[in-house]
Order: sequence, then structure tokens, then C-alpha cells
Amino acid sequence: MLELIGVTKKFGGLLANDNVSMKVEKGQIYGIIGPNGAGKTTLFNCITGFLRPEAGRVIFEGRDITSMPANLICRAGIARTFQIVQVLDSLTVQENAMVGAFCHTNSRMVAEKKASEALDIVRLTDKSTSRAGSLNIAQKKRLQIARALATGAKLVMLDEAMAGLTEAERVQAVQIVKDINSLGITIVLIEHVMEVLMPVSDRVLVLNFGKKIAEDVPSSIVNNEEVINAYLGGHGNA
Amino acid sequence: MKKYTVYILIAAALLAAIVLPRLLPKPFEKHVLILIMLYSILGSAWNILGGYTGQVSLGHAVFFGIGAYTSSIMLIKWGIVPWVGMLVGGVIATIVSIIIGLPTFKLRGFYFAIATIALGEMTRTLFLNWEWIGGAVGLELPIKRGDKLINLQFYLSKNNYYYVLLGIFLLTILAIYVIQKSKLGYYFRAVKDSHEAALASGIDTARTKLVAMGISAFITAIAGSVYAQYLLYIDPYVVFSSAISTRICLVAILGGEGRLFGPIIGSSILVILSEYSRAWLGGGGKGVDLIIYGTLIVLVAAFQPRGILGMVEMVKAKRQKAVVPNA
Amino acid sequence: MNPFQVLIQTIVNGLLLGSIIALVAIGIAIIRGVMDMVNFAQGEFLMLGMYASYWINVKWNLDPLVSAPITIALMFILGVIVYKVLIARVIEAPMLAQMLLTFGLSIVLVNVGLFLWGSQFKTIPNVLVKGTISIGGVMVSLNALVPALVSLLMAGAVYWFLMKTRMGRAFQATSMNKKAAALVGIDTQTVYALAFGLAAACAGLAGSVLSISYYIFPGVGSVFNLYAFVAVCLGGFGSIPGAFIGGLMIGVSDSLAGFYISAAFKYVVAFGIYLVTVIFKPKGLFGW
Ligand SMILES: Nc1ncnc2c1ncn2[C@@H]1O[C@H](COP(=O)(O)OP(=O)(O)OP(=O)(O)O)[C@@H](O)[C@H]1O
Ligand SMILES: [Mg+2]
Repeated sequence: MLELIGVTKKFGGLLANDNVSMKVEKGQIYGIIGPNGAGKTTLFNCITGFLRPEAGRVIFEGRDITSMPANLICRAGIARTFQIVQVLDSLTVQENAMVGAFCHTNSRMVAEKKASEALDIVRLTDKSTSRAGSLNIAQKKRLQIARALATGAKLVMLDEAMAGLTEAERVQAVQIVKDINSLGITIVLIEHVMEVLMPVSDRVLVLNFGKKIAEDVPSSIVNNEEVINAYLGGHGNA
Repeated sequence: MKKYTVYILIAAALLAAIVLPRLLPKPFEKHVLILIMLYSILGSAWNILGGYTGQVSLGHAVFFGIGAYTSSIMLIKWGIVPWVGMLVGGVIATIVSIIIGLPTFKLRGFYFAIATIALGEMTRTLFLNWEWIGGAVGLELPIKRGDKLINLQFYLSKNNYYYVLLGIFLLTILAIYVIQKSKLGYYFRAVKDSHEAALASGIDTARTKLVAMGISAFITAIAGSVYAQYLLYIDPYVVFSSAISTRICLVAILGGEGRLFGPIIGSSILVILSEYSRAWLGGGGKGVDLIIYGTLIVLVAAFQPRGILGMVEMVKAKRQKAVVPNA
Repeated sequence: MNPFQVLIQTIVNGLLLGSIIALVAIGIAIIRGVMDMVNFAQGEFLMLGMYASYWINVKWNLDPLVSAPITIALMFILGVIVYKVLIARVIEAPMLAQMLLTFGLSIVLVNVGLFLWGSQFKTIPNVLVKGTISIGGVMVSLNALVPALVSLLMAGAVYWFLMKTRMGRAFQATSMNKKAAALVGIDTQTVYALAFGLAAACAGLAGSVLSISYYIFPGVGSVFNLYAFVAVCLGGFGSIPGAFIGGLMIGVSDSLAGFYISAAFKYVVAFGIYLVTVIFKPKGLFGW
């Protein structure tokens, strides 16, 4: 469904993504993991059109979407959330989700309906008339997911949807990810805590210093020596 | 509030707006009313771009002046009725706004605001030195007696200027209301709140801003045409002045930016205050009226940064909170 | 003079004017850099600096260059007071409220000037430095050269203060990350107040040195204000050297355009340069 071929992104002298390739199949939950500064968010930005990679190609459903404007990539069916939460503070929760829903409709009624469905899935229905700015961080993260869902995306990319949450909130977030996946939506997840990512992912990509050091099913990843070194050597338990 | 209370309120306000000029016989009072309506339109137009979409323009006099000049030139040189000139002016202003917007919408915040100031100053200089349209001398509009609506000139009753502006204001408000409820309105607010989130929701942010700018420029130019018909004389200092740009922006912010009825509140306060203080204290070029005007602005900004309507909302919210424990 | 000398002469005149603009611009850049807001009343501090020099001259017959330290001190205090009474209230408010406040302040100050001192142009009759010197065929009037040198000195001093002193580093820390600065014990409110005072002092000094060669009137600030803004944006908001170079560029463009095109189009050229620059480099020449 989504394929990256040799994606490379530089910031000045820094190689944030170094020749990264990966392949996500339809219906998968695909995890991306790596220590701080490994280049995970940068990879998201390259896929979703927020950055232009210097080299490499991004292919979505057989179509080359490399360097397409971000808004068109969203229309093509990839929606994302942001590690540094981006919600529309002055709009209500319902309106936030509606903004996403307007991606494929001009009708307010249709958008309202889609937004409500998305809010149901992320369990924010009871907050729908609150201002997004008044939500706590866990709720804001869920609201981002709702907005992404409401766009009708076939592929949803979540950047650290669970970092900084309490245990209970995290369990809920994991359940939400599973629920979304069970609707047939493909998911790419970034986390840097292994324990969260491994149990839900079908496949995992490990980045370190911009390079792909492994890509495999979770059970093999946890035994991969290079991965263990990246996580235990030098960086501690990230 | 119940639905029908809202309708009754709107009907009452409308009735008041229609009767008001008949209750105020003095020419000066009529002049003030006309200016209030004019700036309500201008503030509402500014709000579309600055209040809803978050692009703060300090150069809206550019569009105002284009409107004033287009209809005046068409009337003077070719005898075309101002209503047609008004629409042509609106279209020209829209085109200019797009030409301005394409390169400048990349600029964020202050950089954009300063760019609009720069464009305002440049436009004024251009018109001052453009002989064909009168240069610094300006233009005098041909007098058309008879108070015919088609000529948009009224001598027997200045009220008619007010009613024309009221009509335009109502149309503007209606248009903004419809936009607010539509996809476009949501997109405007999304672009203002978070550029990233807007992009990630499939919004073409540049295009959205251009649309906001175009609509805003169109309405501003329309008001400019009516103003020219009211003054019957224009020059670049009058219609391209930075004071007009500033005041347009102030009207919208004072009332509460991004609110439907903010501009009419802001405009009423600002115009009444500045016109009456000028009439009473403005003699001798001592600037007392402007000291008051400036002080008011400073006080509102320092103590009520969200504008008058923002204040009303806060008071309401507090009251509601106070009621909850008993409920 | 041959055409080449004329060109050089024009550029030199521009640099002299530019150094005054640069000083006002540096004030704007400090405020923007440290507290992330824009002060539209900066030019009015220059105006007040000019009047301060004028009245000190009238009352005690002191030359503006001699009384400059007094002017600087007065403007610094005024800046701190304005910060404490007004600006502090909007430091966390949205950009629009900040703009509104400084706009209003600018209107108030101009008209207070008008009220107190009238609209007629004033000049300071007997100034210490006058006459011209010729440097390689280029005539430089001393009452423009000395202000330019003073400006340069002040700009250097401000730069040194920000880069080398403890307090200056506190300014920098605050501008980078307010919360972190507060955590390491920097009193950000004090930093803001001092920054505002420093900015006002810069504009005050600019006014003081400008007053020996220029007309003094209540509206004088607005021209310099606009130019200084363009200079700051040109250099990149928040960058001190950028603001300085931006100021010089605007001065030179003003002078060249005034001489070779027409005085009427000076602004068009200066603003045109600004627009072209930010369109290609949206954060200015030296912005980050
Ligand atoms: N816009 C940018 N300009 C310059 N350098 C950047 C930029 N964005 C990221 N970087 C650098 O690129 C590297 C990768 O950053 P990235 O945000 O992709 O890491 P990450 O894996 O998402 O880390 P984290 O777990 O902290 O979110 C880092 O060294 C970062 O400092
Ligand atoms: Mg990241």
C-alpha cells in the first residue's frame, strides 16, 4: 500500500533520513521505532509532504506521491497526527473533526456525521462541544486522531500517540488503535517505547541515526542484536 | 437563547437601524451614522481576512482606494453609473488582492503585516504621481442633482447614503454568516489556528487565504466607491491613507476579531468617540481628540485584549460558572 | 564633481541617514528578539528623544551631543515605565492585542507632542559640530557624520552588551526559551523591562543625535518608524547585526532613489526592496 524507496533527507550536514526503504501492506499496523533524534518524525514529514526528500521515492497505492503538496497527499488518502500536538484551539472538538471531514465533502451535514463517527471511535463524544484548547494532552492526542480519521483516510500515520500518557490513557489509546485497524484502516505508528509498540504491530522498522537498522516482525526485532545495541548501548532505555 | 428570541432581537435591531436616522435630524449626527455604517462594512470585510483567517492586514486602504478611484474615474471619463463602477472596482480590487496575496502569503505574522503597510505606502505614492487619474490634485465627481438612486448622489436627504450603506452592510453580514456556516468558514478558522493541522486535513492553505483576501478586498472596494460618491471629491491622501488602514483594523479588533457583530460594535464606539471628540476638542490642531482616541485603544488592548465581545463572553462564562454549583 | 563622485557622495549621505535608522531598528529588533513582540511606537521614542534634546538645549544651553547621556537615561526610564504599566499586560496576549496597544501608544505620544509643543518645526540653533569636511572629494557634513559615528558606537555597545555581559546572556536565554530561563533563576519580567528600556534608549539616542541636523516635530517618528521596521524585517527580525545592516541599506536606497529617481519615489524603492527580499527570503536576509 505504501512503499518507500531509498528516502534521504538532509538538514545541512545532518543526515536525518539515510536511504530508508520500507513497505507497508494494506490492513497492517506498522511500527516505527528508534531512539530520540533517530529521524522518525522526519520520515513522516517526507511521506506526508511536509518536507521534500533529497532523494528516494514515496509510492502510495501504486502512485508516486514524492514531494506532492501535503494537502493533496491528505486527499490521496494518507492522514497524520503530529508529535507536537496540533489541534485547532479556538474551534470545538466537533468542529476540529469536521475540518478533517470536509476533505471529501462540501456538505456540512455529511461532515457533521463523519465527525461524530470519528469522535465515537476515539471516545471523545462527550466532549464534542468543548473548545479544543481546553482539552488535556491525552484528549488532544485523541482529537488529532479523530481529525485524521474523519478525512476518510485509508492510511493513518500516528506520531507518538501514546507518549506522555498515563497508564490508563495508554491502554485506552492502544485499544483505539486496534479499533481503527479493525475498520480496515492501515496504520503506521511511531513510538519510542518498545513495550508499547511491539504488542500491537504486525511489522516494525527500526531507525537509528537516520538509518534503517532492521525491519521485521516484532518477535525477531526484539532478538536483533543491532537493535539491542542501539537501545541499550549509548542511549540507555529510551 | 431560544430561536425565536434571536429572530425578535434581529428584527428589533433592524427596525432600530432603519428608524435611527429619522430620529437624528442634525447633519453632523447623520454624518456620524454614515461613517459608523461605512466602517462596519470595512471592519467586517477586514474580519474575513484578519479575524477569521488570521492574516493581519494593515494596508486595506489599497482596496478602499481602488474602489473609490475606479467608480469615480469611470463616472468622470466615460459617464458610467457608479453602481457599475462599484462592481468593476470590486473586481479590480479582487484581482489586485490576488496579485498581492500570491507572493506575500508565505510571510507569517509581522512580516505579512509590514508587507501590507509597505504596499499601502507604495500604492499611495503611485496614485499621487499618476496624472491621468488626477495625481495629487485628486478628482472631483460631477454633480448629479435629483437624488436618483441610480446616480448614487443625494442632496435632499443624506439619509439615503446611510440606507445604501446599511443595505451593503446587511448583505456583507449575510455573506459572512453563510461563509461561517460553510466549509469555507471552517477552512478559514483552521488556517488561522494551525497551518500544519490545516495542511494535514487536506486544506490548500494558500488558496484559502487568497479566497479570504479576495472577498475581503471586494467588499472593501465597494465601500470605497460609496464613500467617493458621498464625499464627491477624492485624492490619494483621503482614500489611500494609512490612517484608514489602521482604523479598519482597529474597528474589527476593538469589537472582537473574528466575530460577526464585532465590527459594528467597534465601529460605533470608535467613530462616535473620534468624531465627537474631534468636534468638541479638535479645534486648533492640538490633537486632544486623538489623544483620547489613542488612549481608548491602549486601554482596550491592555485590559481587554479580546475586544468588547470577548469581554461580554467572559462575563457570561463567569456568571454561568457561578450558577452551576446551585444547579 | 564627476558622476562617479556624485554616486559616492549619494551613497555616503545614505549611510549617514541609515545609521540613524539602524539605531531605531536595533531597538525594534531587541524587543522582538527578547519578548517576541513588535513595538509600533518605537519611532515616537525617537521623537521624544529629539524634544528632550531640544528643551535641554533651550533651558540649559547644552548641546544635544553633550546632553545625550541625559536623554538616554530619560528614555530608558520612560521605556521601563511604559513596559511596567502597559506592555507587561499584553506580553502573553495574542499578537493583535500587542499591535493594537503599541499603535494606540504611538497615536497618544504623537498627539501629546502636538498638544504640548505644537506642530511647527523646531531646530536647535547653535550646535557644536557644524561645517563640512572633504574626504577624497566627497563632502561630508560633520553634523551628519558625528551622529553616524555615535550610532555606530551605540550599536557596537548594544551588541557587546548582549554577547559579552551576564545580563546580555540573560536576555539571550530569555529570547530562546522563556520557561527554561525562568527555571535557571532569570527574572524574565526584569529582563523584559530592561530590554524595553534599552530599546527606548536606543531610539532616544538616535533622536538626540538627529536633533542637531533635522527638523523636530511631533510626527517625525512615523517616517523613521516605517523605515526602521522595513530595516528590521530586511535584516531578519530579532537579529541585531541584521537590523543594523538593514538600516544602512534603507538609508542608502532612500538617498539613491531620492537623487536618481525622484524624492516622491523614495518610499516605493525602499519598500520595493523589502518586498522583493522577503518574498525570496521570507525571514529576511539574516533571519533564522
Ligand atoms: N527542521 C529541522 N531542521 C534541522 N534539523 C532538524 C529539523 N527537524 C529535525 N531535525 C534534526 O533531525 C534529526 C531527526 O529528528 P526527528 O525529529 O526526525 O527525530 P525523531 O526520531 O522523531 O525523534 P524524537 O523521538 O525525539 O521525536 C534530529 O537530530 C533533529 O535535530
Ligand atoms: Mg519525533
